[in-house]
Amino acid sequence: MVLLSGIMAGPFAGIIILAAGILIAFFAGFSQSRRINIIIASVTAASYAAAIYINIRNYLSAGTAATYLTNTGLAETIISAALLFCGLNVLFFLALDKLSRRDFVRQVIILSFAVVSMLWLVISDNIVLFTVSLIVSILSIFNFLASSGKDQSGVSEYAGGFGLRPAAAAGFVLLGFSLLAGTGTMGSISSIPALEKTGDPLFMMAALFLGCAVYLFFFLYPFQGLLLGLSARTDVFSNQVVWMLYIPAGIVMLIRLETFFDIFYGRQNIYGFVFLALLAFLNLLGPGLALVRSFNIKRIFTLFLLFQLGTLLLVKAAGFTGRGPSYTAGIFDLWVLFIIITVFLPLSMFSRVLETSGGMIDRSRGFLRSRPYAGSCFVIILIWWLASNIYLCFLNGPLPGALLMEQGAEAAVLYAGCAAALALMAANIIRILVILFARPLENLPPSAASLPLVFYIYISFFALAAAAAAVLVFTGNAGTGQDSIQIWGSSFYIFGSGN
Amino acid sequence: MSMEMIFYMGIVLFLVSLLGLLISGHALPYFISLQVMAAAALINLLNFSLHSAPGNGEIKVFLVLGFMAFYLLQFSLAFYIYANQKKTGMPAAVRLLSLEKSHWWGEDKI
Repeated sequence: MVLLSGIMAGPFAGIIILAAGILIAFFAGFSQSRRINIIIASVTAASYAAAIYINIRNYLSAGTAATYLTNTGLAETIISAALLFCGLNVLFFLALDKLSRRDFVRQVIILSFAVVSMLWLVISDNIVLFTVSLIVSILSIFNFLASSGKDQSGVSEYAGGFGLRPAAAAGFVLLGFSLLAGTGTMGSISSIPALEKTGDPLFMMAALFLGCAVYLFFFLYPFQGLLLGLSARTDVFSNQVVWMLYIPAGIVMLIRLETFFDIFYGRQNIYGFVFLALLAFLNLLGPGLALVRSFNIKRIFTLFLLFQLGTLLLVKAAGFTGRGPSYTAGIFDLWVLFIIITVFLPLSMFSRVLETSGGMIDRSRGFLRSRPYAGSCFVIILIWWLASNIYLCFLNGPLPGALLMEQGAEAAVLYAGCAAALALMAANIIRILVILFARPLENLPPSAASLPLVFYIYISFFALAAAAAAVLVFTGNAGTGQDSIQIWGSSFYIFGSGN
Repeated sequence: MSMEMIFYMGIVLFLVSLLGLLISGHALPYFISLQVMAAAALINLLNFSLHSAPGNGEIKVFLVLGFMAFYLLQFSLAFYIYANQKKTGMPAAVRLLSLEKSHWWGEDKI
């Protein structure tokens, strides 16, 4: 009993609970009974919820804890909770789609493996553990995607290609850390800040390779083709796996590696600025331009996601304006993760509904008109998405007003590009809303008469959460500083001074 | 052979692998490029482990566990691609840098 309570108070408590859920699911691996499937889904969901609770409880009781392999603090607790919430939602969608299927339990097991490896990734502080958990996360997510997707034309081709891309990213990670070995430090990631002061060229090269790994992992422009091709060809659930498991895993990877990229921030380097600003504008304007003539709803939401990931590059470019290390990029990454969860979970539910009419917005004309409540939630979520990006990029993100005064031309260029990208995205959102509000074409079949109650509950939850967050921010009760998050007057320094 | 010379060899291997990743239009050369990249990382690790005393233990563990995970991932991908090769070919989707018009503008042709 003492041993058990000791384990449950440690950094691996959440992982152990999830492992127990997997163990139970193993016994029903070949079940063909719907009732058993429901029990396994319930047990797995309960294990996710219990893992969130245990992680938070352990942080509140023990605070930050560091071991040779792991580091668990406020940031890790928040990110773990976010990932478990994503996993819970993917499980929910899996149950919605495939509860009666014979391979349901096996897919639940693969999902839980993916979540467990992502939790390892979150708490890992040792380079070996980080690399292994990253590669196993990629492996598990790919296996889940490959086993859950519909067997239709072109999917296998694109799913295989989808797996090969992060494999190249993993290769870059291996290469980056192999160069780090030359600096004489292969231990913990948190020991890197001391190393940066030496200005070791091997360390700079390692940071460059790791940056390439993150860039490839996210399918950013000009490597976006495969993700767009996959999104249009696979079913909605496979897209949800990408949005809710793969991309959050990439953001966790980025947050862990921010230590390496910190060395570039605060140095006024015009070449670095121009290079990163060009990449940022490519990733902010590229999706906006591609959206102008896009009608496939899954492709549209994937382009939204690429735009959101493009803002991650914006903060890197802002770092090269010589602004100093006061701004912690980890906070921005965390906000992006929060935005992706609050926006793309409900949007994925909408894409399920719109998929019933062919998945094209021009075939779903009249959707907002015929379903005013669902349409209102849809509009709220899109406005929240746009407003949160404006808030992050202009009001209190990498480009606050003071930066323009301090840094002159470079900041003005960032402002102008960011404003153009946001204006283009706003125009695209208006276009989509206008099409969905237009009267339906007479030759098209009418849409399904009623939507399930679970759809309304789900979108209401996220629309309310978005509205509440917007109200809190605009009334000054919540917001983000340069290295902290403020809620009701209290500041939470999530990444401390190390990130 | 000096440490610098071995390091430059690793860099040359990396550049070859990068070229392979960028131009390969089929899964096989893509996998070969990944192997070359892994070989470059391996050369770096062995090179540095010979000369740096601190962190040698971690390098050895990284060599075993990191590469084992990497090859497990590649095996999984190769198995998936081999199992599905009768349904579809692999050429177009593997390409790292796709310049198809539909990936930049307009709708994808499915």
